[in-house]
Amino acid sequence: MSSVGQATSRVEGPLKVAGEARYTADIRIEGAAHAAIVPSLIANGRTVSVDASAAQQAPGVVAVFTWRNMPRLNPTPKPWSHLHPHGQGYLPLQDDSIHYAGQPIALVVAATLAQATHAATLIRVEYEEEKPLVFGPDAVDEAFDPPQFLWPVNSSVGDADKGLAAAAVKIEQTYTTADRHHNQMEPHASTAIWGPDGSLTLYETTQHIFGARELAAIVLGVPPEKITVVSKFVGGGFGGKAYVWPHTLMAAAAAKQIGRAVRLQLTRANMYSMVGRQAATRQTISLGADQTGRLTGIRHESISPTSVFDNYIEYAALGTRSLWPATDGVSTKHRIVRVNHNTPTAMRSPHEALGHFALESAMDELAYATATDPVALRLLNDTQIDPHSGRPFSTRALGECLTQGAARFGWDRRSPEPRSMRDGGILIGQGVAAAIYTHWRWPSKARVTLRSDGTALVEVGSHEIGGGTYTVMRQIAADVLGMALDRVTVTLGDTRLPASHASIGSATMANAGASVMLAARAARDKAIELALRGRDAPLAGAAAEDVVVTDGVLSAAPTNVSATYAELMTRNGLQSLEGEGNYDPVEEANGPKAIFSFSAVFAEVRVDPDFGTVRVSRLLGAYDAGRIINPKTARSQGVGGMIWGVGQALLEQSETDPRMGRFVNRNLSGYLVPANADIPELDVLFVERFDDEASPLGAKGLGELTAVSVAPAIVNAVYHATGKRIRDLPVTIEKLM
Amino acid sequence: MRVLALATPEDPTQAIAAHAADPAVAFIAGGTDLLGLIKDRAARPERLLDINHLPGMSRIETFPDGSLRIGALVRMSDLAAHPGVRLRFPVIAEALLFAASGQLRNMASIGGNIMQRTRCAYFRDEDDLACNKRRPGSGCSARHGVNRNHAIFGWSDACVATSPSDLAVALCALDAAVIVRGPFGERSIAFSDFHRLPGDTPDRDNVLERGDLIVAVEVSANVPGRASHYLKIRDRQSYEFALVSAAAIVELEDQRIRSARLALGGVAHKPWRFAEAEAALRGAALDDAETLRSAISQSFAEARPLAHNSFKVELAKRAALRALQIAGARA
Amino acid sequence: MVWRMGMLHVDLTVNGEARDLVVEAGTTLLEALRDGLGLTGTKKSCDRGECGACTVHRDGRRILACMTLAAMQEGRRITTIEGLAHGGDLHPLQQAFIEHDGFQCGFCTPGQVMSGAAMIEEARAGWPSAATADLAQPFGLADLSKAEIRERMSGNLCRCACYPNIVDAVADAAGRA
Repeated sequence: MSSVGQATSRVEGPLKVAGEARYTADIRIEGAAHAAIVPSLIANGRTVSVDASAAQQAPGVVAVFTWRNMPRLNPTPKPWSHLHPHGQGYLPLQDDSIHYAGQPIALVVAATLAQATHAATLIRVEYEEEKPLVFGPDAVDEAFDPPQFLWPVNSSVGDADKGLAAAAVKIEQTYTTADRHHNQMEPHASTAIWGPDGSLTLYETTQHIFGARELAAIVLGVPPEKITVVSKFVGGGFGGKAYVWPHTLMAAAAAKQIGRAVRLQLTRANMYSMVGRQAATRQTISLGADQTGRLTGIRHESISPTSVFDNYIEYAALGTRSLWPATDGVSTKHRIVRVNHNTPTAMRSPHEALGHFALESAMDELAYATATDPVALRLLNDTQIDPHSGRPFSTRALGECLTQGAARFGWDRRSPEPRSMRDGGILIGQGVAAAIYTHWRWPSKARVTLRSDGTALVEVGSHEIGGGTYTVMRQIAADVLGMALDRVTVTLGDTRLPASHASIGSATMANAGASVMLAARAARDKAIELALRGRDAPLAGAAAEDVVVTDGVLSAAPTNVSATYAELMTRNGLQSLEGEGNYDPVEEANGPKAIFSFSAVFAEVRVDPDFGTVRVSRLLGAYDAGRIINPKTARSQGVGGMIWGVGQALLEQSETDPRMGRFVNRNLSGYLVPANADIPELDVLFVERFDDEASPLGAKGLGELTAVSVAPAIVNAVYHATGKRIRDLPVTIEKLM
Repeated sequence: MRVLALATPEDPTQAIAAHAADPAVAFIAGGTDLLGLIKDRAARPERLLDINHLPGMSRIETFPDGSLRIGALVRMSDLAAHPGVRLRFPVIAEALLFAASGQLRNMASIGGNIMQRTRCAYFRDEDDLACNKRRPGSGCSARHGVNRNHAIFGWSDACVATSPSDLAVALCALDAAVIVRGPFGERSIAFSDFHRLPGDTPDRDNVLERGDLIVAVEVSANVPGRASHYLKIRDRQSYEFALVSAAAIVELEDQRIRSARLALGGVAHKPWRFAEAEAALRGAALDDAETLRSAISQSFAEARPLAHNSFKVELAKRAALRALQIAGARA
Repeated sequence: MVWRMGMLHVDLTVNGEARDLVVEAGTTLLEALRDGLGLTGTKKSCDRGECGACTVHRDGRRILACMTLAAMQEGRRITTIEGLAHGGDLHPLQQAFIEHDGFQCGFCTPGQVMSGAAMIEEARAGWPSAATADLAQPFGLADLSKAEIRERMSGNLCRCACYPNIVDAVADAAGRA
């Protein structure tokens, strides 16, 4: 039986449940010094003086770095892209300027963490403060058109204005989402060790080992081949560990300067200033439709904050380009505003999860305005042609997601009127939202080695951030090799392995997975070649395509001759057989088909109208993510994504004090992520389609998709329950009272 | 952390003497609040007295007359699981079970629980922001800052923080007493006098003086606690401090309220007792929501919401009403 | 009464072994376990009692190692995730976490497992929770519904958000126990 498609348990499970999986800060480096950051108290201005004399005298202190004595760093490359190193324009401790609260203004290195932390409190700083720039109500006036960094900033297909002008029914509303932080359970950490030969090893909490290496090479002025980045287990990334943030560069530069390994682990509070976040958005959507609900024009504009030194764009209107067609046209636009926070970054799910809140809320408003069932409205506007590019979709099973999801959810038992469903004093509401998610195509290399002991080794420079990479790569290789799962070992997370891409954007399965598949094929084909034409070839005369491998045994019908991989290697005097996989897809935009994954999310909420409290009682996610390699880990991604959506909808917001320009709720009792008690039983449904345009594996992206359109499904359910339309996330108590 | 020394006193007298003699000394029991404050440098004791081994302070005693004595070192989880407390004082068990998490309840002591300091984000910030509780005279960042979670009653320009303890709200409603031993002997402090309003000295949360050690909390037999309820409203379903909470204890006669005790949490620097409402509730029919509601409103004449928490006024009224109704249903 | 300063010796039992820890007065139990004993299964995540990642057992009860001092553990019996399995066999809850996919990145998992294992014992001992309908009634392991498990496991945050799988794992292990 094929190992692909099997719901196998995680291969690293025994390590993780026993506390034996070693994360970056668990790796003990003898003699390493520990560093602590002195953060800026102000958000905008400069340091007039930094007095480190007391800190330097404190017990255990090895060195104190400020902008005056920190080694100068080379500027980061611009512009960014997902293929090039991720870094910020801002580099730590290079001058006296302050651009955000929490920005490092000194780094204390000491023998122990306690000593470094204490000494850091002894540093006296004098500031010259300016009024901070914040993302306030007047942001609209200060917004500007940014240069492109991922996709085109604006888009226009057809004539959206015409469609809106002529529409029988028009929805025009503004929706806002809050700043949010990743809050991975594992704080960012970096341990930098320089070798006597000028080589650098970085133990790093990263979703992008090769990006980290490339950026560190540029900024530190060290050839990339002299840098090794290791990241075997990452305690949650969600996009926030894909960039190289200031702590990594400070640890490396400090370690070089003092001639000793340095570990720098961020405090929880540090994580709210230095390492990115999801930017807030202010979005305006206009939908025009005929009386039946068929869309005639769509306009979607979004404004989001960026830092004062980088042009990060939250492409909130991206999904709107391709989800629904409009007979006259679709236009989208993004602008950004400078604020005194650090540069935002990708956070599950960047772009789409924000834009879909607006778009799919507006679609719900349109459903009520046209007296159309919200599922039926979406089915009416479904399409197989990408409205943006005009290309056919490779696969688009959105219709099945909607219909199968509705059937399983029991949508037909919903009464359409708001406030019409109750349980005693509790109002019940049900809502739906659809989603489209970008498919990333990035190059990846992998190596698969068959060994004479009958085992195989998979090597790929990818990451385990929770997605199950160790597990699914093993399944892919075992499937191609025709070997039992327990004979295959996977190695990840080290730049000495074949180069792969960042583990972001739900891209690992389709791309890194494809490279593993190709590498396994190459290794297997070498073995087949030996079986057909090697020394004492056991399958001589058979055709290569007739050879099958089962449990490591190669055979070709109709003969009953067979040989194991091990026998073939022994017979040919080989210790191992290596296959290289080099997956190098054309960019999606240049292909013949438009490739996206899709979903429909159904939510049920219970609202206590006295208190304005919303409890999610049911969630169902129906996903078209192509072929599912491991239903068990894939289901967990669905579960996790839905819960991320619950957080976005009801709980999460990083609040800025507008006078100070700093985030206020910088801990896990102030920033609320969902707790176990917030989450009901969740239902996950896969509408599987093998998508060979997306990947030779047939798989499309899943992890990010699952966190998209949960918030609008919940907010639409809240409207159905209460008759109140909330256009400002999160839906907290006061908005419903 | 900058703790330089630790000692383990053998008896209360020793502990009290050591505490009284030195302003840099603090008691530590569960540590679940104090260590957070120390890490955030909102408390800076240099020496800690580990009082966990003091004798006689870990007992829960229920007496035949219905009264209750809780040793200050009793853990939250033990008190919440105590069959007599569950039966006779549901408001206490509920206040405990709706607080913190299972792990924290296994650690935190009852004495420490009612000593908990505010969760005001400005006060807790490890960057040492302006806060009169933290550094007297430095100003109140929350007064004109982000203050959704802050007080609507009894605040001053110097401080708008709220008290975070759920248990304290229940104990306040129960007219409990805090038994304190100090350098000059033992005294009993009425619960509603234990916590202070901020006034000009918000650095002081309560009336304890240096050398004072809480040894127990007592609930008198005069309060029939069975018909009681603790209701907690928060954004997250669990593991979160209250936005607003209400403790209600009701005595009924022919489905009319003979006496009601009502205290609210999350609204002031101390548990906020609703004396006017309690008086107005006397004689009201439990099923007459309008009358109950208007009686409760009597206690809101002095409500002064801040920029971000005006919703708390209505929320507090509704919470009080619901708590009363649920408590009454248990009568 | 003696003020202990500088480096303090603490005699305690960790995972069944008598240990003599040398710590500073301000060293948390978490730091002592991780840095002193190399028991890195116990994780530092919030360091403020707000996430549950550092959950260990003290004398059989679940506590947060970040919010207590090592020097206060004299004579105590500490169990960490490394000491939960017996011999080569995983604890039934560890096994159930694997089977029900109760984790993704795995960083909060040691805390979840330690919390869940002790929580099952709390339920067996008859402790109620905020999800218990009637506190006046005795509580037993048979009353440990999914709603009960959700509430009782809410002191352990999981950002990958495996909550339903964690609940299934705990329910399974409680049933097997």
